[in-house]
This record gives sequence, C-alpha cells and structure tokens, in this order.
Amino acid sequence: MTPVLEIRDLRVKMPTPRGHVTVVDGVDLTAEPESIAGIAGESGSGKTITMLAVLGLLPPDAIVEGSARLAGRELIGLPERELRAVRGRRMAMIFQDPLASLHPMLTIGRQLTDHMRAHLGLGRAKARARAVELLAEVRLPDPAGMLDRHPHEFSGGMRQRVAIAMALACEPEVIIGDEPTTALDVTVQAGILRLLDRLRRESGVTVVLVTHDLGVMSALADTLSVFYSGRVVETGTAGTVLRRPRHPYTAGLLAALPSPEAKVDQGVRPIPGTPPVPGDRPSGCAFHPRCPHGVDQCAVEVPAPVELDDRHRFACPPDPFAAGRTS
Amino acid sequence: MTNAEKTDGRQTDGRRRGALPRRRRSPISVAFVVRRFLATVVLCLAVTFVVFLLSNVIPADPASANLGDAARSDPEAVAAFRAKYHLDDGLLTQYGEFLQRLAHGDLGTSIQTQQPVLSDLADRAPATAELAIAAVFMAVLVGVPLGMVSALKRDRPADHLLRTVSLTGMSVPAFWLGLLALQLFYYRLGWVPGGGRLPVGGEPPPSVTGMYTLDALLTGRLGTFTDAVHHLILPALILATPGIALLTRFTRAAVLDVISEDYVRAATAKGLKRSTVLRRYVLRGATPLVITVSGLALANVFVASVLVEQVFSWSGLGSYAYQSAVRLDFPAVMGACLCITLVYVTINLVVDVLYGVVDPRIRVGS
Repeated sequence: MTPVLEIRDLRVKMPTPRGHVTVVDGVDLTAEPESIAGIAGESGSGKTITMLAVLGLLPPDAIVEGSARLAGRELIGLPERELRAVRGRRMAMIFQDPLASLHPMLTIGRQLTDHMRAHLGLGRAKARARAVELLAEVRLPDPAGMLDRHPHEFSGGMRQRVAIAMALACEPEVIIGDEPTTALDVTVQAGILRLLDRLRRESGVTVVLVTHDLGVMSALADTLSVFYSGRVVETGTAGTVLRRPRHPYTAGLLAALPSPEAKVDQGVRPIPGTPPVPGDRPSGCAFHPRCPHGVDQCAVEVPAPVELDDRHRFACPPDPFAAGRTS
Repeated sequence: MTNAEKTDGRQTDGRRRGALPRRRRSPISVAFVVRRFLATVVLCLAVTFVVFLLSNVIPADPASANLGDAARSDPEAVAAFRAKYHLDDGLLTQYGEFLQRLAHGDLGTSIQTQQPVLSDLADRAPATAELAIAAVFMAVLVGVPLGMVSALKRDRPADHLLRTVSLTGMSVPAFWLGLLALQLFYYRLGWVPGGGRLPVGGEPPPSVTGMYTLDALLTGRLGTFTDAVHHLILPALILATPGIALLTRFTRAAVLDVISEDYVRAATAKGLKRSTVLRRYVLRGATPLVITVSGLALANVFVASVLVEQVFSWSGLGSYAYQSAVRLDFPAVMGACLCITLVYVTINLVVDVLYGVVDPRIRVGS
C-alpha cells in the first residue's frame, strides 16, 4: 500500500537566542491509509514540532530539511499559497487544548464554517448546513443550536468534539491529533478516542495520533513510533512495539506505566534522570546517560536503526532485549 | 421557573443534555447599572467638594479679577460684588448652598457671561463633543493599523520608527503641538483656517445636535459642511495625536500577545489566508484592549481640550473651563468640572459595557 503520509529524514532547527538548535534530527515516519499512526515520547522530544513542520506552521526562521510527502506530493518547501490549499483541506490538525485553540470571541458556527467556505467555496447557508451535519457526526447534542454559541459555553470534551468537527469539515485525508485528549478529564478521553477510531473506520481518514499515553496507543494505534530527543528510536506495529520492545527507552516507558494491580511504589519504575533539553543533547545515542544497558560505544556513535522482518525498526545496537537474551 | 433561572441552572450543570435554548444574554445586569449610578453620585459629590475647596483656598480675589479698574478701587462696588456671589459667607455655608441649588438642577450663574452655567455648558458641549469624537475616530483609524504594522514588522526598521514616533507623540504636549501646527499649516502654508469653528461671519447651520459638521449634513448645507470640516481637521488632529500614539503602542502589544495564541495557529492550520487570520482572529482578539485604550484616549482628549481649544479659539467646554478658571468664575469652574467628571464616568461605563459586547465570556458586573 502506498503510504498517505511519508516523512523521510526530516530535520528541524529552531531559532534560539544562542543560534539554531536541532530539535528534530532525521525523523522517518509512515502512515498507511485509514490507519492510526501513533507517535509517543516525552515532552520536548520533537513530536509536535515534526507535525507542525509538515504543515509549514513553524515560525519562518525555523529551518526545515528533508521530505514529507502527502499521497506522494512533497510538502517541505512548498510555497505558502500551495501549503494553504493543503492545510485544513487535505491535512487537518487537532490541538491539545480545545479551549485555547478555539477563538473565545467567535461563534462555533463561524469557526466551523470559515475554512469550508474558503476551501470548498460553499455559501453561508450550505456551510452552516454542513456544520450542523458535522456536529451531529461528532455526537454533539442540538447541533443547530450550537452554531451561534461560543466555546466557553461548553465543556472541554464538547469543545474537543467541535475541534474534531472542524478538522473533518473539508474531508481531509490525514488528521493530525496533537495530544487531543491530554487536556481533558480521564472520563472524557475515552469518548474522544472512540470518536477518532470510529471516524477513521467510517470516513477512511488517516489519523496521526501524538500522545505520551501508551495506554491510548495500545488501544487504538496500528503503528507506533517512539520519539526520543528529536529522533525515532523505535517503530513498528503498535502490538509488537508495546509487547516486545527492543529499545531500552520504550521498555523504560512501559515499565513506568502504572498498572491497576500494582501499588504505585511497587509497580512503577520511573526512568532515572531527565530527558535532554534540545540543544544540549548527549553525544551518540541521546538516551545513553539514562540507559541501564549502555556500552561504551553508545556515547560515541549515533546508533543506526536495525530493521527486523516485520517492519519493526529500532536504534539500539547492543540490543539488550533480543530474543533469547535476558536483560 | 423564569428563563433566567433556567439558563443559570444550565450554566452550573456540567452535563447539558438535549436541546440548548437559543438565547442572547444581555451583557449588563440591572444591579450593575444601579451600582455604577450610585458610585457616580458619590464621585460627583467628591469632585465638587475638592474643586470647591481648591477654588476658595487659592490666594486670589474674584472681585478684583472680574471688576473693572474703577470699580475695583471702590469699596462699595467690591462689597456689592462679594455680597451678590455670597463670597463673604462661610465656606461650608457656601458649599451647602451650592449643593442645594445643584439638587434642583441649578448650577448658578456665571460671573463672566451672566448666564446660567447650565445653559453655558449646553451651548458649548456640542462643540467639544464634535472635536472629541473626530479626534478619537482619527486616533482609532490611524493608531490601530499602525500598531498592527508595528507588531507584524516587529524589530524591523518600520517597527523601530513607529515606536520612536509614537513615544514622541505621547510625550509632546498637545497645546504646544497645536501652536506649531498653526504656525506651519495656517500662517506659513495657509492650508487650514486659523481657528474658530466657521469662517468669520459664517452662519452656523440650524441646530439639531449642535455639532456643526453633523447639523450641516443633516440640513443639507454642503458649503457649511466643508467649512466646518476645514476648521475641525487641524484641532482634531492635534487632539488625536496622543491617542494615535497610545493606540499604536497598545495595539502593537495586543497583537503580539494574541498572535502567539493557539487559536491563531489553529486558524492558520485550517488553511485560512493570512489576511483573514489577521483580520478575523488576531484583530478580534485584540479588541478588548483597543476599546480600553480608545476610552482612555477619549478621556484624555477632554483634558487636552482645555488648552487646545484655547489655542484654536474653539468655543467649547475646554476654552470655557480655561476662561472661567482664569477669571475665578467659581460657578462656571464648578459646572465645567462637574460636566467633565460626568463625561469621564460615562466613558468608563461605556467601555465596561462594550467589553461584554465584544467578549461573550464577560458578563459585566457579575
């Protein structure tokens, strides 16, 4: 199958007062049609920056190199005019905090229709009719009554549903969800995730789901890429990566998950140390200072990814979790 | 259960189910209006008291300021003058009488014009209103776009230039600028008339609002309208200068603040044109601050008008206040101060109500 979204060797340098700093360093990522591609990693690992770079939403003084293809078409370096035709139309984005990403002073109807009118050339009445359909599709009560109201009149979960309806409006091929449930109550998160899953099955949209919640990944994602300090350290089908992680960082993340059975002080093993700040990344494998399995070579060489037969790739040459080996 | 209770109930109930009532909340509450009205009364009393005290403790004598040379040396004339305006009564007695008359809507008689102060104020208020409205319109129409440009060209030459110019504009006293502008545009270049509201001997349009430009338009006198605009433009511009500067700086700050909001990035991610994002999302987000500063600018215009009207021989409240103060015309000074206080309070009230109109999250007074 041809991937809908294919990112190859993407590099992003962000401007800082001390010059440009590499925050995304050679990221590869593939999303198959109608799949949910999960991206996991700690804050600051470059997940969001990667997605913003693909849509050309980084500040103009950021340096973006490499390739990102949407259905075969290169997006990196595309002029603003052409990018605009992609944004919202072919690739839409859902942001973390729906309260912040909806304009507090504009009505839901206005924010739901303005890009439909721009992209699809719909008139006011048609756009509003479609907006009502969309709100119903994301299971909001009284869709028609919502149009003239403002975001603050709704709960966080309802606002995120509005944001999802906005993303769906122009029937994009890809929806990027940037931690779409992080700002929501746990009880509401499941509903939002089920909604995304249903939309993927019903409308055939591909979802790139950025989250640091591995529980979400195991429930929803088809593939999973684990980011660490601007690089993808492990990628594969979600089941494989989560059940048989080969990179110590992935294994560490999984061990740090609280399980319902274990008491917190027994079951949770946090990864020692703190994630590196962009611009001050350790040499070689960026994870080596925190890694319990490191060898001398780790501090020197940036590890090349190893690919296994089932498209499982990981970047850890010592491979402490190889089959038959006990760690 | 009333409608209001229903909607309030929904507000606190997190799980809203079923049809949502279509409603448009009124942006202000009755309690708010009552509270503000009482506060205004207290404020006006305080202002009259302070002004009253100040007018009476200054070491100057209204009799000698208002009587002619001959009368000034005639003890009987001076005594008659003092008796007429109750200048020899105790301070508190005088103030008490003032309040008593005020309660009946009587501001006393101006020493200078020999007219009731109230009718003097009514005669002159429209002239100042015309000037102030024109000035604030100019300030918003020029200041907001300049602030936007300054923000979008942040740290580039255009921004530096605008910031320097706006700082200067805020610091320069308006009456001084007025004198310079008259020297240049009237005396040297002859582009504008030298003062007044109409050419000498020009007939004012029939009074509808008292604002010449508006009245001339309403009654279809285009010639008078052109004349009035011609006279209005320079003093209005001078009064607008600090406002333009203020709005440029604050709009710049507001736009820079809003432009980094998530909702602006989200709007860009929807594929909207940059101009649409700026107009609909950024500028809209900056409106509360723009409204605040416009209100401030309007209030400042009234203060600056005291000297600027004098410079431009504009017979409005400002020059009335100036002339009354110089002549120690106490009733007129009190009236003018009271009038300006009311204008201030009203501007603040309007600004507060406008918040509720532009920002649906705010219900004023709650």
